[in-house]
Formats: sequence, structure tokens, C-alpha cells
Amino acid sequence: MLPEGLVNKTFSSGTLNDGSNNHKNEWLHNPSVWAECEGELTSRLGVSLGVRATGVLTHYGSDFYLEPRAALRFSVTDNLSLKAAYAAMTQTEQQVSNNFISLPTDLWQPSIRLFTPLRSHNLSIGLSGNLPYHSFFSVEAWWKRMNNLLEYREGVSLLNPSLDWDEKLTSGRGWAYGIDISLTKNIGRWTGSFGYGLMWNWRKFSDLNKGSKFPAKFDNRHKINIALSYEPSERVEFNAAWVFMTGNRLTLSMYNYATSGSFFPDAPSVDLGDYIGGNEQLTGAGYISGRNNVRLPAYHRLDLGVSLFKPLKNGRMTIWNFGLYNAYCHMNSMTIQKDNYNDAGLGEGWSRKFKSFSLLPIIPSVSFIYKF
Amino acid sequence: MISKVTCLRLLYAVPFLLLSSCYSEIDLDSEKDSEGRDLLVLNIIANPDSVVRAYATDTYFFSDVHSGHKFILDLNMSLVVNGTSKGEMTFDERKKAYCSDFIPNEGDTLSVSTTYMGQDVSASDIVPRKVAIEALDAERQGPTQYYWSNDYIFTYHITFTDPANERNYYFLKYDGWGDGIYGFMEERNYEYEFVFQQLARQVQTSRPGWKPYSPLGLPFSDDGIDGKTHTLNVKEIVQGGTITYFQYWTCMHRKFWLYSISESYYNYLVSLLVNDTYEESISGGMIDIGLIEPGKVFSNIQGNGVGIMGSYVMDVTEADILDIVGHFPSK
Repeated sequence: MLPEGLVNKTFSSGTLNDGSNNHKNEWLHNPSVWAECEGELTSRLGVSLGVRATGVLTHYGSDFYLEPRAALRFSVTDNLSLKAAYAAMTQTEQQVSNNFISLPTDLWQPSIRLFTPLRSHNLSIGLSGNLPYHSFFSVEAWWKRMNNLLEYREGVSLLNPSLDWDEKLTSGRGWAYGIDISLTKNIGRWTGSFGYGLMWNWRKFSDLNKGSKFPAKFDNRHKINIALSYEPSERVEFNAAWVFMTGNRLTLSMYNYATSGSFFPDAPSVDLGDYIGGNEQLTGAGYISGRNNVRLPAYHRLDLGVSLFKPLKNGRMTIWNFGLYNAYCHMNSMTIQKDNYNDAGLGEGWSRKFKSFSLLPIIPSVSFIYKF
Repeated sequence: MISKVTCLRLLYAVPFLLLSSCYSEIDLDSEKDSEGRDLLVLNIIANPDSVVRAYATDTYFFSDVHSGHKFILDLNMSLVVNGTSKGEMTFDERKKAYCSDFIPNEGDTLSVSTTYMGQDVSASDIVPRKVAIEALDAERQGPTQYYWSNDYIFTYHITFTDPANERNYYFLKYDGWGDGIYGFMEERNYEYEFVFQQLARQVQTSRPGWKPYSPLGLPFSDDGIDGKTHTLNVKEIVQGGTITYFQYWTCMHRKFWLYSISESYYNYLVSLLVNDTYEESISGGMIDIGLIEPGKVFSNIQGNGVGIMGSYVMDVTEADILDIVGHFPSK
């Protein structure tokens, strides 16, 4: 059986891709013009209106998109304002991530041939203002709808040379919503900021997950950012930043089940598990309940840094920066794999493990900047 | 004082240390409540040579100790054939299967239904019609250099006619039979056969570099051969080694099974090939490092279940290959 997303597509009638790639020399031009006006409707109500007209030109044809946007700002008091905004956006290249590992191996796919540009509609409403003691806060609720999103088809290999990149992808829609809260405060030589985000992120593709909605890979429910900086003098600055977020999602079979070969030895079978020694020794088939069904453990790390500023003559300056990425060396999980190694004693059956794969432990860094 | 060589070694070592990956065991017991726990696993492969049997087992959490199949008892499982009820299938303690008295025929539509955890589970399949092996022929090439200087390559030609204007699915298996070395099948090779090249291109969608090989046989479809009389060409590599006694071989028994299989069964078998992560291969490694999107194993069990209800009809022929190609030449 071909992967779900391919069944009714490229190979539907046995027409197989001949492996040739006739789309090597793709091009895409993306001219745009932009107009904006800002004004004050009353002493407390400000408005910003704008529109961006963008064209998408490829050798398959051309398209034209309008991206209207509007923002209202209402000053409740001198220190408190209410904001509401709408923006439509068109994106001709979009990032596509695989659903098994959180590594920076993402593809940037231009919207050509099989796909149209990503269109999104963004709504937000927020409250922001100054608080006593040099503090600033903002609270914003947002909602975003996306059409023509791209995802990898189920089961495809990212390295399969006989499929073009766009044949490995399928398009659908998504929506995300959440609340962001931030607080910034200055006390003397100390500056601190706190940010919290609560969000949901969904996808719905007719070719994936039997057409049912599924959580996006980056459906990170909670995000916390805490940053602190201290300047004991004009020549030294210490920084610390702590990041926490609910883990990314990935697709993984948690349950396994027996395949037919272990029950019907005379029937056609391709399961080498049955051939080698029966399903007791191997795992059978994995049951995947849905796309992005499992959440990775929470991600968190602390980054530390110190910057040394040395002013030179004529306004020039040198900056040495020493940093520690992931200072407490927390091995954040990139993916989870299934290890078939038997860890149970003889006669006690077979026990297998889930393994977390991590990368990037503590990383020191040093940089030098010469400003002139 | 640190020497220059030591400095260089340290410089080389630091990036590796910093970028080193780490595997650690992870407890995912919190995911035990996920969908998949309370599913009924049904395995039903029907054919006209035996009564309909259904194996009902449970799914098991991957990291739990697994001591074998846990059979689900006390199900009320019914069989319907061509819209007519054949009654309840009864649990056979010896076979650990729900069995019916009914032996299916070619073209029958079989449906099985039950209830598990208060939810319906059902499956159906159509028994395919037999496609006969019309001719078997063989060729021998060698002695030649394949692995050794005195290897032999046998090419087997299995001819059949695919029914026109319908989708048909097959499975070819070939093996040795009989006692001793004469019945021992050596290395199979499916790579030169058109239908298995088509299969490879399907599987390579997920597993680049996969070659059509299995000691158990392989499925194929009638893509490209619909309605035609087609001759399958598969090979066997018989290795000579340093000392051979081929000239003393008096026979070479080989058996060929051509199964007509249902579409669901074909989809199931191909999806198992696509998802075979046991194999120590490049593609298996790519699944590990995330270069292959996870795919599901095909299931045609409806409702609260997973597994396969498939069916097949087979034709088999056997031959002493030396009767066809003659005895091995003397040294």
C-alpha cells in the first residue's frame, strides 16, 4: 500500500513516475507594492490602514494577491491602550518540517507548479500599558487561519530521487489561536522580561490523517521566556535567558500488534519477523493512531552570556562576548525511537524501550565585534 | 607545555564532544491511554482450501514485557457470505482461533463482524479467482563469476495470463523442496522482472534503494500487464564455492506458487514492506534519523479494530530443474 497521501495521487492508475525531473530550472518572481496611511480619528483613537499588492510570476502562469491590513489603537488612559488588528498575508515560500524529528532539516518550498502561495488571515486584540516602577505589560489574544499550507505526505522519503520535492508534499489548511502575555521591568542596572504564551495549532489536510484534523508539529501549548540582564558598569553586561516550552509533536506508534504471518504460515507473507522466529521475538506492526499523535518532553534551556565593551577613539568600539548555550546541559529530546533490543530476562518475554534522541548539550561560544 | 599535536587533537575533539548526540531511555507510560490500547486485532486470511478462521488478539504497549499473543476470548463473531449469514464462528481452543464450518469459494464476498469493548468491529473481503500457471521453464547460465568463479545462475520462467479489464493482484513464491541439498533453495533474485521493478518503485517512495527481495516471496499487481499473457522471470544464484560437486547432483527440486490475492491483502503486504524497520538497511537508518515520514500499515478492519482480512487462491507447480536444463557439466 502506498502512503496514504500518494494513493489517489501520482500513482493512482499504475502510472509510475519515470524518475526524470523536468522541473530543475524553476523560477519565481514576487514583485509587490505597498501603501499605508495612519491617522488619528479622535484624540484617543488612532487607525492604520494599509494594503500590499503582490504578484507571483512563474513559468506556469501568474497570480495576483491583495493583502489588506488594518489596526486600531484606542488609548483608554495615558498609560493604557487597547489594540485590534487584522492582516492578510501571502507567502510564496513556506517552511516544511518532517514529522518525526525536530532538527533544522526543514525544506523551504516555493509555491510553484502544484501549489499556490500560503494565504493567512490574522486577527488580534490586545491591551498594553505602563505599570508603576518602570514596568510595561501587554496581553494579546490572536487567531490565525492559514490556507494552502504544505506538509509531507505520509510515508514518503525526503531523499527519494524519483519524486520531485513538490510531489512529496500535499496542501491543506490550518488554524492557530492563543494568548501572549509579556511583562518588562527596569530596576536600576537590572532589566528583566517575562513572556508567556498559550496556544493551539491545528491542521486539516484531505490527504492526511484520513482527512481528520490533527495537531501541528509546533503545537506547543505553553511557552515561557524569562530574560534578565545586569549592567554593573558601562563596560560589562551580564545576560541570562531561560526558555521553556511544551514539546513539539511527532508521529509515533505507541502500540504494536501481531501481523498475519504468525497465524497463517501457509499464506503469502513478507514479514521477516514471522520468518525469523515468530512474532514473540519481534514486534509485529506498529499502530499509528494519528498524525503528530505524541508529544515530546518539554523543552527548556538556560543561556548565559557576558559582554565586555571597550570604547576606542573616534567612537569605535570592540565587544567581546562569551556565552554558554544550554548552560545546565539539559538534553532536549529531538525525537523518540523504538528500540527492539530485548531487555527482559530469559523466559520472561520480550521487553523493548523507547529511546529519546538528543543533540546539542552545553555549548560555549565566543565572539568578537569591532564597531567602526 | 601542550604540544602542537595535542592542541590539534583537542581542537578536533571539541566539536565532536559538543555536537555529540545522546540516546536515553524515555518513559512513555503516560501515553498508555492513547488511542490504540483498546483495539481488537483481527487477522483473517481466507482461502478455498480451509475453513474461515479469525485470530483475535490485543494490541500491546511497545515497552511492556510481551510474552506472546494474548487471545481475546468470548467474542460473538459472525460470518456472512454473499449476504447470507453462516452463523457464529466458534472459538477453537487448540487453534486459538474463531472458526467457521464454511469453506469459501472463489468470488465469494466474506464479511466478519463482532463487538469489542462495546464497539462494532467488522471486515470484509472478496476471494479472488484462481489464475493458473500455464508454463514453467528454466535456463542455466554458468559456470560464471557471480560471487565465485564457478557459480551458476538459474532463470525461471513462470507464465500466466492476467484477466483483462480488472485489477488483479498476485504473490509469487518459489522455494526448494525435498531432502538434502537438492531441495535447498539458494539466493533468490527478483530484480530483473518487470512486475517486481514496479513494486520496487512503489516501495522506494518510502524506502529509497529498496530492492525486490524476500525469502518469503513478493506481491505484485497487474500494472503494465493487464489482460496479457506474461512470463515472470526470476533467478536463483547457486554459489559454487572453492569445492563443488555439482556434477554429482542428480536432481534439483523447485516449487513455484502463484497466489491470486485480494486487493486489501496486496495493500497490506506492500505496507508491511514499506514499514519494515527490522532490516539493517540504509532506509531503516533513514527512518531512525527522520528522513522518512512515518507511514501506517494498511488495515481494512472497520470500527474499533485493526489488522487484516485478506484472501487468496493459489496455483502451484513443481519441477526437477535438471530435467529441464540438463545435468551440471562435468569439470
